[in-house]
Amino acid sequence: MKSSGTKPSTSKIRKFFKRLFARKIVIFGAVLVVVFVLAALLAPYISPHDPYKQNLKLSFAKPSAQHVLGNDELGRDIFSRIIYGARTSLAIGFVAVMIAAGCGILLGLVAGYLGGMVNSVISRVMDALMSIPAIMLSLGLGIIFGAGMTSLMIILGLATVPTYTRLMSAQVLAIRNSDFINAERVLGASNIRIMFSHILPNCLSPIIVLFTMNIGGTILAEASLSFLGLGVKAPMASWGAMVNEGYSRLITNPVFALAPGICIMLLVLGFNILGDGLRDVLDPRLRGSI
Amino acid sequence: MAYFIAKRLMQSVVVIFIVSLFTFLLAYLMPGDPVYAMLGGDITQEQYDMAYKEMNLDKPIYLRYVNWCADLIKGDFGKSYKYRMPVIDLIKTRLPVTMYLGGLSIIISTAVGILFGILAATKRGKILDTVITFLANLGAVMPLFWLAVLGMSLFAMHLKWLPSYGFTFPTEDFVKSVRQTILPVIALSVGAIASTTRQMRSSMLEVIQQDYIRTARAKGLKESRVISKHALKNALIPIVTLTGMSFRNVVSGSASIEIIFSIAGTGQLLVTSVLSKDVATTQACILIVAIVVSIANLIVDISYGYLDPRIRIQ
Amino acid sequence: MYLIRGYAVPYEMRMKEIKHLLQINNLSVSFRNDDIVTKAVNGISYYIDQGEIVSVVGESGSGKSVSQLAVLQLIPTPPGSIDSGSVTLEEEKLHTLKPTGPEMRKIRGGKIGMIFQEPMTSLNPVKTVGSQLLEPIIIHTGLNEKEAKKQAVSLLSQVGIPDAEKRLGEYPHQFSGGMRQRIMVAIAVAGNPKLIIADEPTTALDVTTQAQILELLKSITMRHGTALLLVTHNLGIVARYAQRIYVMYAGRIVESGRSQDIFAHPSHPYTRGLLNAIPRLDDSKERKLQPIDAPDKISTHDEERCPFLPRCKYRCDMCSHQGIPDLTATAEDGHFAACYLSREVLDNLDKNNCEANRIDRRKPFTDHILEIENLSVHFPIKRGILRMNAGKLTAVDQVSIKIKRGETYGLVGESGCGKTTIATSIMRLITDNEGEIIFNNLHLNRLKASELRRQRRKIQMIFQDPYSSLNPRKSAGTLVGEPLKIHKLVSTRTAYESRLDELFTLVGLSPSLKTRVAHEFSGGQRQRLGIARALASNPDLIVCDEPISALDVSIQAQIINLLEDLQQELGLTYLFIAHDLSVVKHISDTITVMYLGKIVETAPCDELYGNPLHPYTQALLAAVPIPDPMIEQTREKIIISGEVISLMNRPAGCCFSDRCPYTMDICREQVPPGKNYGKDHEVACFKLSQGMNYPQA
Repeated sequence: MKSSGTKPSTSKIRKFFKRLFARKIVIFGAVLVVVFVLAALLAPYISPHDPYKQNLKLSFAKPSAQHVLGNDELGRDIFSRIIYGARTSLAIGFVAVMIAAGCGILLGLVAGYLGGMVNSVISRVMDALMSIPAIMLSLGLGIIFGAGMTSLMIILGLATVPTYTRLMSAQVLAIRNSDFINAERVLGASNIRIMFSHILPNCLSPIIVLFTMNIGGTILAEASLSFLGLGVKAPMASWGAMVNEGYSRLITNPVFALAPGICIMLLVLGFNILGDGLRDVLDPRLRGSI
Repeated sequence: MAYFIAKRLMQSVVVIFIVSLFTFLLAYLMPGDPVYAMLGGDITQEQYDMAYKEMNLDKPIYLRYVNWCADLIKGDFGKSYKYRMPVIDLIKTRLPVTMYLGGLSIIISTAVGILFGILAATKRGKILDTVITFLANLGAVMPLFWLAVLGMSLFAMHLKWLPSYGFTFPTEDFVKSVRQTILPVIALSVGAIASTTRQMRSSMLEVIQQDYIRTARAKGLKESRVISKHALKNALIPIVTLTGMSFRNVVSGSASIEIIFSIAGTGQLLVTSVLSKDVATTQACILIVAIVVSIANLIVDISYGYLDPRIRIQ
Repeated sequence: MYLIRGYAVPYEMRMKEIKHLLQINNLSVSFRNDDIVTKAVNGISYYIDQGEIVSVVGESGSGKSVSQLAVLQLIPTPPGSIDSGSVTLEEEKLHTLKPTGPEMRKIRGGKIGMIFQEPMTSLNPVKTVGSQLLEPIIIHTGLNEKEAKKQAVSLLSQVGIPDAEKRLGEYPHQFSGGMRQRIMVAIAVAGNPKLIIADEPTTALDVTTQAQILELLKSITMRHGTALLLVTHNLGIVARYAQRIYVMYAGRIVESGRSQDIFAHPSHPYTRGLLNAIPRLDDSKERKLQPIDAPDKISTHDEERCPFLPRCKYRCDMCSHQGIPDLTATAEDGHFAACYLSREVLDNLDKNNCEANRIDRRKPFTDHILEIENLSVHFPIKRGILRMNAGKLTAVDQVSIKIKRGETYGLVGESGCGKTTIATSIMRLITDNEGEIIFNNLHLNRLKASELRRQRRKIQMIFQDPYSSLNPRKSAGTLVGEPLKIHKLVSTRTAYESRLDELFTLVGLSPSLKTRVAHEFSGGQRQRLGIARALASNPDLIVCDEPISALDVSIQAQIINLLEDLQQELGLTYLFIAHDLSVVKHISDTITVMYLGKIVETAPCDELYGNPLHPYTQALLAAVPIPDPMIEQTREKIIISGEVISLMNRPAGCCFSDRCPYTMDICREQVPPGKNYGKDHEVACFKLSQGMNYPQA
C-alpha cells in the first residue's frame, strides 16, 4: 500500500469530484444549479430593472431591447422578476429542506435507535402525515401559520419531515445491531456517544442525496402553492405566481407564462441530476429507492 | 396472510385516528377565535353564543374531540359557511369526481410507467433507453400546473380541439366526458408516469443482477422468458409501494388541475375553502382524502402480499 | 492451438491423444470498473474428462469462480469481458456461440449443469420450486408437462427431499438452506448434463449438511457418469472428493495434477504455504501454523513477474528478473507447477529454515475467571395483531460453563446451537436471561448500568466480520484508541499516542497506519485492528466470536498465531467460539460442543478429539474432511441424516434425538443430564450412561 501522504483530505475531495463529474450530464446539472444560485445571490446587481417598479403604460408589453422578456400586467420587468423569483424559490427550497432534514434526522435517529414504543408512535405519526397529500397538508398547515415566506418555509419543511424520518430510522435500524455498534457497546460507550458519534455519521450519505433531490421537489411545491395563490404574498416575485398571472395571455404573449415555467423546470432538473450523480457516488445501493 | 392484513388494518386505523386529531386541532391551532373560524366573521352576538355552546367550547377539549368524532360517524361534518350547506353534501358530490380522475390517472401512469421501465431496462444503454430516461427526467421536473396550462392554451383555446373546462361522468355523456377528461388526466399522469418509469427501470436493472436470474440463465432459458417469468414479478414488488405513494401525489395534483379546468372536485373545494377560511370544509376535505388515501394504500399493500409469497405464506 | 511456452510438444501430443470432455485453453477474463481494468482470469488452460471429479482450488479473488462462469458465458458484460480463450465441449466450440443464442442455451442446463454458492439467493423467491425445476426438464428433455412433472417428483426424491409431490408447490423460503441446495442439485441434473459445475456448493452450509450435499453430488454424478467440477477454497473437501486438482492464484493456475500427488508433494510455494497454514483435525496441538506472508493488497496488475512473488518465502533473484513462470512438469506424471524452483530446492530451503515451529503452551491457572451457571436465554415469539407473546424460543437452555484463568475455552457447534447467544449474553448485549454470569467474582447480570460500563474494560470481544465490526468512517487510530478515551485510561495526549503505537506494534501493524481509514485495510489487517481495540483496555478475558471464519485460509493462520502469541505474552483468557473443529482443536485447552442450545459434551481438547463420546460430536468430527487424500480414502464416513432443525421444533427429550442413530424411547421423552466420565469429560447421553457401547468413529 502506498502512503497517501499527509494530505488525504484534498486528494479525497478531488477524487470525489472526479467521480461525481465522470458523467457529463452531472456537470450540466451542477452548472444549472450554480447559474441559478448565482443569479439569486447577485439579483440586485444583475437584474436590469427594479422588479417591483410598476409602469402601467407598459402593461403586457412585448419583449423589447429595454425589457428583454417584456412586461407583466402592472408593467413590471419580467426578466428582473424572474431573477428575483430564483431568490424566492431557492430560499424557500433550501430553508424548508433544512427544517425537514433537521427534524427528520433527529426523529428518525431516536425512533430507529430506541425502537419499541417510541418507534411505533413516531412511525404512525409520520404515516399519518404521509397519508395526507402534500398540498393538502401544506394548505392545512397554512391555515395555522398564515401566509408569507417564513410560514411557507415552515409549512413545506414540516410536510417533508416524514420522508427524512423514514429514511433515517430505516438506516439506523439497519446498522444499530451491526457489529461495529455492538463493539462500541462492548467498549462501554454511552448511548448518546453511540448515536451521535457512530450512527449518525454513517447515515449521512443518503440524507445528502435526498436533501439535494428534495430542494427540487420543494421548489415545485412552492410554485404550485404560489400558482394557486396560496404562496408568497403579492408583490414578491415567484415563478408559480407568474405562471398564474400570465397563462391567460399564453397565445398572444407566450413568454410571460413560458419563461417562469421553463426556469422552474431547469432549476429542478439541475437539482435532480445533481442528486442522481451524488447518489451514484455516495451510495449506489440507493439507486431506485430515492 | 390474515395476520399481515390484520396488522396493516390496525396501522391504518391508528393513522386515521392521528389524522382526525390533526384536523380537529386545526380549528383551535389557527390564529383567532374558533367560533369565527367555523362561522366566518360577520355573525351576531347571539349566533356567537349559540355556536359557542354548540361547539362545546365550555367543555374540556377531549370531550369536544369525542363529540366531534361522534358527529363525524353520524355523517355530520358541520356546515360550510361559504357554501351555506352541510359539508357532507358538498363532499358527496365532489369526492367521486376527484376519485374518478385520480383513479384513471393511476391506472394509466402505472401501466405506461411499467411498460416504459421494462423497455428502458432491457435495452439498457441503447437509444431507446436514452430517449425514455430523458423523457422520464423531463416529466419528473415539469410543474404539473404549468403543463396543464400549456395544454389547455394550445389544445383548447388555440386549436379548439378539446373543451377547456368542466367535467362530466362517462355514464352521463361518454363522448363529452372523454373530451373533457383527456387534458386533465394527461396532466395528472405525466409526473407519475415519469416516477414509475424511473423506479421500474432501476428495479428491473437491480433484479437482473440477482443470483436467481443467473440460475435461470444457467438453466438455458430464453432471455425473453428470463425477463417475463423470473425478473418481472420480482421487479414489480417495489413498484407496488410507489403506486401507494402515487395516490397522494395524484390527489395533490388534482388541486391545481381542478382549478385550472374548473372541475368541481375535492381539490378545488379544498383550495377555495382554505382561501375563504372555511374551516369545517377544510377539515372535512383533509380527513376524507386522508381516509381514501389510507384505504387505497391498504389495498395496495395487500396486493403486495399476493405478489410476494414470503409475506403471503409465513 | 495454444502452446504453453517451453512445454509445447508434449502438451500438444497430449491434446491429440485424448479427447477431453471439456477443454479450456488460454482463457482470460477482465472486469472494467471506473476505467480500471482488473484481470480476473489470466490465460488459464484446463480440462476435465468424462465422469471425472476435478477441483479448482483458490482463495477469494483467485478467479476460480469467474472462469467457470466464463465457460457458460454467464459473466455480466459489461463490466466483464472474455478477452481470449477457447472453450471446447465435445467438439463444440462454446466460445464462438452467442451468449443468449439457442446453441448456448442448449449447453446451459442441458450439457452443463451449474450449482451456485448461495442457496438462499439462487432460487427465485416468487416462483414455486416446482415451476423452477420443471423449466430445465421441459427445455432439455423434451418431455411434456405431465411427464416432466413426474420426472420432477422423482428428481426431488433422488436428491433427498421427502414428500416431493407436495413440496413442488412450495416456495423457496419454505425450505432450509441445505434443502434449497438439494433443489439446486436437482435443477442442475434435470437436463441430464455431461458435466456439473459446482461453485463453492457447501460454503454457506453447516458441516454436517455440507457432508450430506457433497455425498449426494458424488453419488448422483457417479450414477449417471457425469463429470463434476468442484470449485472450492476448502482443501479438506478437495482431498476427500477430487481426483485431479487445479490450484489457482491471482487469476492463474499455479499448480495442477492428481490429488494424491499434490497433497503428498506440493510443488508450488503457494500450495505448500496453504497446506502448512491450515490447522488439521489430525494435527498435534504443538504444531505451530506457518502463515503465508500477506502483502497489503494482492495485485494482479504485475504482468511481468510471478503473481505470488510478494508473498513467497522462497523468492530469489531469478523470480524478479525472469518474468512469469510457466507450468512445468514435476516428477509425477501430469503434475505441473508454475515455479522456477524445483521441489527439491524448495524442500532443501525448508530444511535449512527450520524456525521454532512448536508452541509452548503455558499451563492455565486453576481458579475460574468466568463461571456461567444455568444460563438460559429465551426470545419471545410475537404473534397476532396485538403482538402478544405467544411463547418463547429457547436459544440457550440451562448451560453451565467454567473457564479457568489463562486458558482458551473452545465453544463449538453448528448454526442455531446458541454459541453466539452465549457470547452476547456474557457481553451483556442481551440482558434478558436466566442464570448467573460470574466474572472475577462479580455477578455481571446483577450489575447496575454504570458499574457494568466500568467493568466492560476487563472483558472484551473480537468479532467475526472484520468489515462490519469497524466503523467505516473512523481512522484506525481513533478506533483502537476509543476504549482509552471512554474509560479515561490515559491522561495526556502523548500517553494516548504512545499507547496507540504500543497497541499497533503488539498486533503487528505499523503505527504509521494510524491515520488510515478502516476501508483502506485488508481483511487480515482489519482483524488485527479489532484485536488491538479489544486489547486497549487491558482486558482479562476476550470473547472471540468466530474471529477467523470470514478470512481467507492463508490469512487465518496469521490471526491464530497472533492470538496464541498474545496469550503467551499477556496471560489472556479466551472464550473461542467457532464452527470449524480443526481450528478449535488447534487453539483450545477445553472444548464444549453445543447442539440446539444445549451442551452435549465437554472435555479437555485431546480427550475430546481422541475419545469423542456423544454421537453428535462423533458425527461432527467425521464430517470434517482432512486435507490429505490418503487419510480420507481410509476414513470411515458417518453421515448423519437430517439437518440442524429450527429451534422452534426442538425435540421434547434429548435435542439430538431426531437425528441420532442410537435413539431409544427414553431419549425422546427425557432430557439427558450431563454426566462425568473421568478426565473432566462430561457427556449428556442416555445410551452412554446406560453403559451400552456404540461403534466409534
